[in-house]
Amino acid sequence: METLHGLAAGWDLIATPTGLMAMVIGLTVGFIAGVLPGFSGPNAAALLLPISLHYPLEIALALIISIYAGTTFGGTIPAILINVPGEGGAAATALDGHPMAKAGKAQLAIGIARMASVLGGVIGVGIAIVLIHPISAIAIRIGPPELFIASMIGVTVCATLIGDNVAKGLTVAFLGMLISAMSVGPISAEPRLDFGIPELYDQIPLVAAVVGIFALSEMMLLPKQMAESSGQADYVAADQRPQSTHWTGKLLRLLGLDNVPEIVRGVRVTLGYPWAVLQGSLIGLLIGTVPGIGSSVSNLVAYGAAKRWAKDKSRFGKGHPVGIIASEASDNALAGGSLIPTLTLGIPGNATSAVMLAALYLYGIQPGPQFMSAHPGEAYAVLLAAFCSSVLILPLGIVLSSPLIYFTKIKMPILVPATMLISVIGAYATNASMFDVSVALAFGLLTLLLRIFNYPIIPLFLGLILGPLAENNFVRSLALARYHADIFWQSTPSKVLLAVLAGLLATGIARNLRRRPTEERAEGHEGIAATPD
Amino acid sequence: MNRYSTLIPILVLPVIICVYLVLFWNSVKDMAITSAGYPKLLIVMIACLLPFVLGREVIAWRRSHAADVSWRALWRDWNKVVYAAVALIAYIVLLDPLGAYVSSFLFVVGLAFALGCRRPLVLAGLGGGTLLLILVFAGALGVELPGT
Repeated sequence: METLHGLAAGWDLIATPTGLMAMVIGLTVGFIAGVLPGFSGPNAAALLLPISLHYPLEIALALIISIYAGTTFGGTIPAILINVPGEGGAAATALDGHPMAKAGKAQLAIGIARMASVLGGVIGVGIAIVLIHPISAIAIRIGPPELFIASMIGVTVCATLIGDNVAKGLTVAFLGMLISAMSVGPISAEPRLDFGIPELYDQIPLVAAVVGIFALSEMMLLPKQMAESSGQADYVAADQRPQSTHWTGKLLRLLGLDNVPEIVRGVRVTLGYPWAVLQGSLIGLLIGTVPGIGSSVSNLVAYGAAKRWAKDKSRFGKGHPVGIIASEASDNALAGGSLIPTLTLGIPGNATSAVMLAALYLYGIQPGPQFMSAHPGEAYAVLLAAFCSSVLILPLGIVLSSPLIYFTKIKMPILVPATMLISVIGAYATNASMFDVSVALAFGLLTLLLRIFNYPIIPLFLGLILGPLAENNFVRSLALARYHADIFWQSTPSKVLLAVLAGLLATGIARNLRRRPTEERAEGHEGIAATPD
Repeated sequence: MNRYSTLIPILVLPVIICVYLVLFWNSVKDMAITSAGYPKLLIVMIACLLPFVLGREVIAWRRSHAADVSWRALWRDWNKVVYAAVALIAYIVLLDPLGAYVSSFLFVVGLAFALGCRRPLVLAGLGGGTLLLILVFAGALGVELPGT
């Protein structure tokens, strides 16, 4: 019943012309970001975050979640056409999508990916809508000590699973938490390491930090990444459809409607493998709930599971539709999974959810277990926006697939300065302050150094986001126990959470010890860490 | 390039982090536990992790048999990243004194040229687009950029 009330409240907020427009714009930007080299969901969300703040909270969150949905589908187009995934989540799609394209079935492969993305998103978010209220009812009973340990678990999971070096991941995560503590103390309001800058009394400006971490550092490194991938391939040449010379044919081609039978076939083929859709979606949903793990992991796991359960494994890697379906369904279902910890605990499931939490802070809302009870309308509006965005991938994907190919033609010397300019102006526009621009630059340079020396950057951002939540609950716990630290291991939930934390650290360290340090350096020799999800 | 000089980049980040930890510790050392407890906990945890980070990096460096890389080759690989970083720093420093129009125009056209764009028409279009974007932000969206 609570879920239905929440859905009704959320529907009232999001079912408006502005809400629909935000989803369409978010999806379109996401499609473009997915296709462009060096761009991913968080980058695009970071660029639009300053603009989204001019609108109500639910519209800003709908925009961010639509960008995420758009990026996951956009990344499949270059993966299928030229075997270069536009984002990490499309890596497994290329394994069967590209062979299908080489066999002259590029349209069919894109059609299958499109339909699997829609179904994956709908199933993932649908299950999240059903589960989110019961989970939030449990989450609200969690006290400050448990919430502090849960925050530490969030950064530990992320730090131990991203990258190959647990110590590096944890160092970066704790560094992010420490940077977030540069504001005044939570109770005594004493300034801490403010360098005499009054702006630092408040929290680090999150929009500027997001822009610096995801947009500026990425653009500074893009020239090297492009040089290593030996320039840009001709995407259009890879699309081997016959060209119509008549104006109606050209118009239909521009709208992506010149090959309707292939579009219908893509839908039919996907619906013909319901088990693959369901399996991929459930894997994506489950992996999405784990903080820090992105679609780059889930699509490979889903692909592996689909191959393991298949009767004829030899068809995989040669253009088998199940390979595309499993990868794309999991990629889009991940959004639903990542929203569960984000909305119920304030612990982001992935980097794009972390940008959503940054938006909540900017609207003066403290993310955490109270969010679902204090703002049920906004929470369900986000879920509904994720659901509607998944559905909208089908019509928008049909219309925009062909024009999107031309975006891949933008050359790096134009893309880099243009994106940097928009990023800097976006950072400035939030508070009309040069201090914010300086913070964006500082985070851009710090992230650049971290990536050059193979430190993971997602834990830094997660630490920055979870820092205030962790500190507030740390201080509240100590105040409740009259400054005795044993409050952190008194209750049974605390003991369970500490055991989970210890288990995570132990498995992370064991995994790390099995790897020789030379392997890490050999793999990361070029000095560029993986692109964030 | 001397083999030992390749060790310097490995040490850069841990040294920066150490300096930051010392500065933070000094700023909170005399404060009450409500303000100092949490940052001190984080500083201790990072300080405990840094030897492991550094240890693994140095072991990997000692075991690596990578061929010596000349400064010239290193510059060839990384020059465009340096151009982008320097141009960005210069742009942000000059944004206030020169104003948004002039500094943005110089930044976009200059960086595009430095990254390899040589076609005058493309550069002119990029410059024009930049001025138009600033005009849209300053005029239509009401963002008061420096010098607008």
